[in-house]
Amino acid sequence: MSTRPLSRIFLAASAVCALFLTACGGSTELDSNKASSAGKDSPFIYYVSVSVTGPVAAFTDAEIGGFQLAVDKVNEQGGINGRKVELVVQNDGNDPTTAVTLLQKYLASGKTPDAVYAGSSSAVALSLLPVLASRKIISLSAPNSKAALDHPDKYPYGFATTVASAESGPFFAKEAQAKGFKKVAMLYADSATGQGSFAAYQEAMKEAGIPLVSATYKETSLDMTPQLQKLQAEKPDALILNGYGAPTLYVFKSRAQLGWDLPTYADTLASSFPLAKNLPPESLKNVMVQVNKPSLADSPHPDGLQAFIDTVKNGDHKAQFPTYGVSPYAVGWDNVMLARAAATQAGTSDGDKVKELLESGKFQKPSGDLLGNGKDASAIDYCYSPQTHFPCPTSETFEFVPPPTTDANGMYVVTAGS
Amino acid sequence: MTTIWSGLVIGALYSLVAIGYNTVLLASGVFNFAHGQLIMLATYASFLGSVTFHLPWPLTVLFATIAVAVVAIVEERVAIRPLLARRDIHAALITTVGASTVMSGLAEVTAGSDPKQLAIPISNDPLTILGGVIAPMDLLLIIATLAIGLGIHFWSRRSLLGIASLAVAENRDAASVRGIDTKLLGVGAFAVAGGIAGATGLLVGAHTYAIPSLGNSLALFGFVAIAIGGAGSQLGGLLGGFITGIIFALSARYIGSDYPQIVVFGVFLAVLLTRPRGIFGRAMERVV
Repeated sequence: MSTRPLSRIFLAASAVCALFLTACGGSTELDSNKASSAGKDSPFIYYVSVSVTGPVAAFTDAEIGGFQLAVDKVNEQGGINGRKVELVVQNDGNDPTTAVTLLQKYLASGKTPDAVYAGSSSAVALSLLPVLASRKIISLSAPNSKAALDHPDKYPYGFATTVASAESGPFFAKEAQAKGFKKVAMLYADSATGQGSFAAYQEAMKEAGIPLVSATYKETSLDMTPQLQKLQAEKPDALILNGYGAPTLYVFKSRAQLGWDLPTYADTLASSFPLAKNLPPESLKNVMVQVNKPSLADSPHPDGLQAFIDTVKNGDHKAQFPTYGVSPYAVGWDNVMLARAAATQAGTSDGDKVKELLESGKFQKPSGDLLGNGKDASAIDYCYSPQTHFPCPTSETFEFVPPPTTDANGMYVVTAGS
Repeated sequence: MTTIWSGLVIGALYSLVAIGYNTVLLASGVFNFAHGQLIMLATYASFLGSVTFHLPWPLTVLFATIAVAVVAIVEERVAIRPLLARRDIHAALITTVGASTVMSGLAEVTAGSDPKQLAIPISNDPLTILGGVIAPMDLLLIIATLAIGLGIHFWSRRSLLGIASLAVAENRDAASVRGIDTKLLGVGAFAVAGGIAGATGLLVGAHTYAIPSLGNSLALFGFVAIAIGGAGSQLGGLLGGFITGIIFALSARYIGSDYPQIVVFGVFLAVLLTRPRGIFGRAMERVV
């Protein structure tokens, strides 16, 4: 009896599988001569490349809520340099190829953004920055990987607006020294963000003279037991965890199953996921999370924060508020406000002039407009220079706390039971 | 032994996908790439039953079984049947990928992208068995997968309906001429595959949580499982899944966390090169 039909189907299935494995990217020829000729009548285009679908979609929805509220506010106050702000949101699906394709398509249509938010992930930012550099378009975004992105020589128009996760490395090293850890393990996502985070911890631990052993996981992993066992065999005194969402839950679940309750530190990425809400207390024994100090309910907050929270709670993107709190909304808001401050202080959105201002040390942070960095934006120092396009942390930036819950305002609350 | 248990748990997930692939492939000749998504939907149905509706676990399982079977039947009617009528099996392959995308998209839009924890009926405090640690729900998942895989393997070889589905897989026209209702068998296979996915949703979700990306995580390795075990062989799919899971876990533990996928795909290629029909593929064809 013939067996060919089944074989053919299987062969075709193999071909479809290959499609899953192959990232196909298209490219559009870029007309680099198309310069921005924006006048007072043309809108100030604020281009946002984010993942509206996929694992971070809900978080992104909150960020978009922040962008929209800020754009509305800026337009209410007369726009930027007299130009009305137009928000353009592109769904890059957190895929660098898609992000570049969409940006090139947009540029090829004859439109030129005045400022770009270049992706929610470092991988997307990494793909967009060369295109933006070739068109001299300023990018003010919140990528994590300082190691990969802080290269003003390669990406002269790309500026980060949040303190990089790389700064967590030196912060943790101080904690490790204070606690007397002799060896530390790190489990991180096999992604640009995870690798950037690991590089930062590795450098900081090397400087502190504490050995660091590591393991990675794929973001599609469904169990972390083997990785944790591998690290456990190294007998570390503490574990650092980088990641977000389901993978972090798998880590804590496997850790509890192994009965491995060594001191564990979730980095800022892992801590932004509501661990206390999703895991039983016994899974979080000896777990500390690194939070941004301004996110704690008992930290001093900017004057306008409460009004912003009230607006968010009644806005179109309120659905994500109970899960993520105010932070992602504030990220969206602050980026627009920084773009306004930079363009206003430079008197133009011309990439070269804005870049010159930001690198000059003369940029004045719009403390009154910023919501995500504590009272008077004291948790961030925009220490941009020709050598670095990432802001610096201050003593008000980070803190280690037990996995917190969130209050009605979406701020972190540390309780005895949390 | 803990690593082996971990591999068996992940392997059970891949085996369940392989069982679903094979069930539909044998009876209707279609490779249903959306089966991973049916398992994902099963975890959401189980979440609805156990958390939202507070149903006792037998009713949760029943609810998920029926719900996912219905979704599978709808998939067959909308994405497969019109193409089978035109004898376009290869196009049907593409439409299952489309159905897969629709299912994951709908799950994400309606339930959000954050993981949802299911209410499980027993204490999940780890057990120590044969020197290794495993959660009770994970142990049940392995046992259930073995029972389902072996059950469907023997059913497909010893029951009239099972043999009829093998006949359809080999030659749809000849089977039809011999009086087999191929359309009914096809839709029945989707219903059975969906029902099995639904019935195991509580066990799967206890390990993975309900997340929209689950289907994509499972689809590829489920395919590897049947490629290793043998397309069209339920026993092959079952064992292929467990083999894949154990290789994955052992590689991550002893070679390095960067290598599991490389090792698994290395084995996958080696099997394809040496035994293109998989370890158990040939045996199934002789029976037919």
